[in-house]
Amino acid sequence: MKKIEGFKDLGLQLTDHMRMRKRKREKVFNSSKQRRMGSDCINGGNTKLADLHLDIIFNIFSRLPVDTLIRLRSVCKLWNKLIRDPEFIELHLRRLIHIPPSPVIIALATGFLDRRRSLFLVDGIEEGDWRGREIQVEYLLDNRLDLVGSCNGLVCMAPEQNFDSIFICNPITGESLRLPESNLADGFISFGPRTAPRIGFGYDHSAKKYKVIRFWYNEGKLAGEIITLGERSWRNLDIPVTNGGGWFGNYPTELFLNGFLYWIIKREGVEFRRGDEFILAFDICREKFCILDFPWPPLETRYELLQLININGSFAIAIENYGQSQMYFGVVISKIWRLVGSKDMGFSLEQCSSYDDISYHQAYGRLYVLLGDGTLLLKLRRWGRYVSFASFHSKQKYLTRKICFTHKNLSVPLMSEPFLFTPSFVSLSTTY
Amino acid sequence: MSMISGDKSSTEILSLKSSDNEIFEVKKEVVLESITLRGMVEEDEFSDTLIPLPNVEGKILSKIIHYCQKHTEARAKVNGSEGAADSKEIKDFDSEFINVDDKTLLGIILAANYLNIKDLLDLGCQKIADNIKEKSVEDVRKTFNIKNDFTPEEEKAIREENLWAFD
Repeated sequence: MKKIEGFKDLGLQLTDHMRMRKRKREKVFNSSKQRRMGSDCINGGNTKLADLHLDIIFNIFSRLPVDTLIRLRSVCKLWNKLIRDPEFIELHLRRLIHIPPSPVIIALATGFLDRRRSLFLVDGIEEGDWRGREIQVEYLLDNRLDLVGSCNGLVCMAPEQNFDSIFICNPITGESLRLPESNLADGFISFGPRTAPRIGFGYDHSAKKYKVIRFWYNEGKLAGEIITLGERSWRNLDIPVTNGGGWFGNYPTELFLNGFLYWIIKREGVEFRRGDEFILAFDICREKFCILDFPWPPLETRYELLQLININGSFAIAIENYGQSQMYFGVVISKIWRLVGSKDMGFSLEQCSSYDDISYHQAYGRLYVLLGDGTLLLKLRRWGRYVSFASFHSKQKYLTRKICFTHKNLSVPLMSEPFLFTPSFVSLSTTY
Repeated sequence: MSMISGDKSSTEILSLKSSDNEIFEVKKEVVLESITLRGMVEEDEFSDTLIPLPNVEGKILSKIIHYCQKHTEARAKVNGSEGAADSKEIKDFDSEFINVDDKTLLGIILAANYLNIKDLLDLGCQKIADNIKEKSVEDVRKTFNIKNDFTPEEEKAIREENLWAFD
């Protein structure tokens, strides 16, 4: 990938492919001044329609999902411009945040045959008509990147176990941005999977900026750094954790909710079994950490997976227990615990009785999303390569599985950890 | 044709005149659903005379008045609290009310915008958004009476940018 002049300061890099598309786009449409009223492209006849004011058009457009808006760009030149208007994009995003649309999931997929990696979107979940779509992203081909977070339609991709560059991209618009190198990469220690840097990606709604934080375990302490999109270098972060942080849990699990990033951290000296965990919370606006300490439910079986999830806008933890040593052949039982209480009065975990007794065979789950009707959505990974999704009905208390197919009717390829995704047109250049 | 609303109490009745000269007699409290009209009425200019609405035709105005009446009544039932809009009765009324053809829908939206009746404007815009989701690009052009000013090459270029959205 080559750097483009003029974007150097921002660290913004365009791939050859995107540059070509950008040039093609500019050639095809002339850059005349945007016309504000709808009347120019509307034919005679009904004068009322010609009076369709911009704010009404925006009102209607802002209620439409991203894929409809992309289709509507073809209606006429004016609509094409309006849908790309930054003011409209901002309005659309605000509505998306206020009224979350149908859940969409994004993950990194590896093709079966060619091992080619791409971003994979699954939508139609609530309607029961699950569809997967592949989105090619240039730099995924060259780099060993993992999907580590998603926020407002942007995704954060980072190398798994080192300090190589982090990319932020909007898979819908195709824009991407490479973050500056870490300050602390020099003299760095090699990581194992249990001490690899953790990356958090979130949105500071007061400053209206996106931030990335990275922290790692080094010689008995946690160290960290933070960068705001647009800044030229990372800033150090003090992490007030004096003991522990050696093992972040079975899987990197982070949650961004209500302006806070959350991780599960283990206290020192604890290996495979769950022992002394606590939640590390980061206030993204104030850039301050705090620790949430509370009694955890007793360990039920030897093997366990923990995940932080969002249940109806509040923080919860899903704990999956494996009955036998071979997780692939046992029965897995999942329970959901909601965090209740307050800083002053203390926190505790309360079990969600509606989601009691979620159990399944020969698979382990990941990604819990609560649908509008109270159905819980899980991604199950079976032994072997197939990924299926399952939904758990809290009333009927049974689990149904669905294999997800791509639009070409191919079964879903290998997938990395999926994230909830809100497709939007957020432009990286306006995030500064 | 005139429309006298509701009961025989001594509430003030105002007259609204549509663009096609239809006159509607409406209770003042119903008229006040429209922020635009509220401004006019409170300035006391029209308390005795007709309020002309040259931007709104009779067929649409009649529907708008019906909406405002229903919502005023519903609000009165819960003593003016905010919860009125959420009742099942009102929701059912709203979805039936807005289930009209595209031309009427657009007319309602424009009128609700002009008269500044927020809930009706949102209802109309949401309905038309829901309709658009199902429509092909060509059908959308027909609904809004829009001429396709792209050349075939230009249109092809746009489609190819985000092919996945067109499946």
